Amino acid sequence: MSTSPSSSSSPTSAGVDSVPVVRLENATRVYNPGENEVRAIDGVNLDVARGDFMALVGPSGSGKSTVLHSLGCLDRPDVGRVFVEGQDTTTLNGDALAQVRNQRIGFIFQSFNLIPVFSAYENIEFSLQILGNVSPAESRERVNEMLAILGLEKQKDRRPNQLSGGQQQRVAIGRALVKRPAIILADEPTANLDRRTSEDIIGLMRRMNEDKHATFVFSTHDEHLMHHARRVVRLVDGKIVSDERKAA
Amino acid sequence: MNFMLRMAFRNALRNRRRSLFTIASLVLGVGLFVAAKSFVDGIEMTMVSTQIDSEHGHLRVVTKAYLLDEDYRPLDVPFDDASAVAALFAKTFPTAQVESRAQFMAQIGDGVRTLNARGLVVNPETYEKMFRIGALSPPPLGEGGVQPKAWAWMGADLASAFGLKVGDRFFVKAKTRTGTVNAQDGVILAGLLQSGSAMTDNFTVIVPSSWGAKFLNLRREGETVDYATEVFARFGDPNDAEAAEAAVLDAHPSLDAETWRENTAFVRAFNDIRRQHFYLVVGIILLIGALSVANTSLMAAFERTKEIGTLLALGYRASSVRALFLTETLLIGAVGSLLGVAIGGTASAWFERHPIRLTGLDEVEGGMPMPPLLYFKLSPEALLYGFLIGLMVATVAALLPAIRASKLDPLTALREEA
Ligand SMILES: Nc1ncnc2c1ncn2[C@@H]1O[C@H](COP(=O)(O)OP(=O)(O)OP(=O)(O)O)[C@@H](O)[C@H]1O
Ligand SMILES: [Mg+2]
Repeated sequence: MSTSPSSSSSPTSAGVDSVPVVRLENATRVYNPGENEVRAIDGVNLDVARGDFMALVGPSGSGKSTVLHSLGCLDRPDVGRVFVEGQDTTTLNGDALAQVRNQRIGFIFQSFNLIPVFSAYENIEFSLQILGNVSPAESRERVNEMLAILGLEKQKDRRPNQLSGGQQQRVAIGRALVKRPAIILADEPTANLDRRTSEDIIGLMRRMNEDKHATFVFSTHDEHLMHHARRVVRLVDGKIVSDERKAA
Repeated sequence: MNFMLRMAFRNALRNRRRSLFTIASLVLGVGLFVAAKSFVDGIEMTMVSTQIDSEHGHLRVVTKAYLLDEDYRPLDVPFDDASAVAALFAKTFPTAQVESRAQFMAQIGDGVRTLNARGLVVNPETYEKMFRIGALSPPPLGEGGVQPKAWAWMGADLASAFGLKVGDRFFVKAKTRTGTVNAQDGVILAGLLQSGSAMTDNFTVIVPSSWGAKFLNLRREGETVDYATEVFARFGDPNDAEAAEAAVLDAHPSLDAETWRENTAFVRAFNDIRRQHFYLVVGIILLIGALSVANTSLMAAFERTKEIGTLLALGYRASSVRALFLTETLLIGAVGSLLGVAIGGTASAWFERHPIRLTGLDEVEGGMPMPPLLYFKLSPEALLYGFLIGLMVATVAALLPAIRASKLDPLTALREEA
């Protein structure tokens, strides 16, 4: 079993580390096995490299979400294997998978999914709290820095229902990023946002990718948004049909 | 941990109406438990202390032979050791009050009717200090400052059955220690006995030894003290009764002694039955409370499926989700239990000071005896048990929904529409 010596702490060594952040190996996910079986993804091989800013595109039902869930250890392929920073997660139990998600993976959801009883500040802080091993002083510093980057300093004490969709999604990005995960996965992060806000959010993600070397994989239907990506992976019927890298 | 508590606390406030309903149902159950326990404890305590105060003291000593025939209240069973027993108590328990008396079968009448009663020959000055049955004062002097020849005190209910008032006259007839039958006319009713004990209030007539000893031939030629059928002792500490009993039985094998605890075993026995009745009702209410808690918890878990999915995606472990939901319910449970204890306790404390007077309700609850004045007795245990029972109900009720919430698959939970 190959293990990576690198921890989740800082994905600054982009390009240097040859081990992919996450790798899908012949991943197949079958729903309703038998007559009406659906192969949500079918023999997908995908390496996400450190520092990638990847868009997953494809028609509805093509398997974008399923790929993201597999990459994020939220779902287990029926066939094939998932490696996170070199660690084979296929045989891990629920708690161990939770641990992998906790330390190495950040999620951004289509409908933001902030904890409604927490303020913007607390939602971001909560992520560090679950991570553990972060001193209160460091936590304060990291959350405040994140709020500054997101431009949410004034709104930090508001609860999600007092924030606009774009603001909520910024908080969600902060929540995912603050723990410095190996990879951030975003399933249609802009689907509930208007055009301008969507550009904003993707711009913010891109900036994080460039400035902080954070690795992003996001799915989208939006042709405009995929132009921001540096790598575009296209899915059709659960299979990868193209994988294009663009020059920076 | 800090974060989980914060989250749990705010979640508990999220659906206030539901939380309040749950709290209310727990308050009702816990409050009723505290009140019911205090109520029955109060009845038990009142009945036990009435029995001690009016009939039994802390220890009663009789001869074994007397016990066999007690129903006939014989005056001719030898009890030579009575004064020795009194001396023994005085020596071993210097602060003990000791009292002896002679119990006899009395017939009393007003010339029209005759009734059987329990007669007691006592030394009124000391007897009234030992037993709380009302003052045993002699009647006022008659014309020319002459002391009446005979007087007695009678249970208030017995007197009212006769239509006798203080100062009225009646006759007493009894078989004496020597077997003759004596009758005394013109006995003045000097006062009424009021104790809360049916035996005293309904059936007893007390005769002072000043004329009663002679009337019943209680002292024979050569004897220095009046004959007694029983000796009673009352100790500074009621728990001395057992030691005193052992000492008496050790020194006088022919005697039998009964502590107040043995004597009131029946009181505890039927109050235990009464307790069970109440607890059954309280249990049903608590069950409803439990269902309400479970419902609240289940609804919370159901409504927040997507949130649980988010927590799991963020790396929250299943056990933490379970702990979160348990904590939420326990917070509500703790508030409900505390309020229940506070309300039930306050009500019980109030009724401890303001007893409920039962009139014409001598026999309620399927013939179980009740004291005429109902005092509640609030104990720290009632509060503690009430609180713990409330918490336990909440915990048990919360367990299943919490486990269910923690068993959710993260992806399935996330797919749930918000
Ligand atoms: N829980 C499930 N049960 C049954 N079939 C499922 C389930 N989840 C996904 N599928 C099927 O798997 C296929 C891929 O779904 P997936 O959600 O990955 O597609 P997608 O590319 O994300 O689509 P969209 O753009 O609409 O979000 C679809 O045909 C879908 O119906
Ligand atoms: Mg999808």
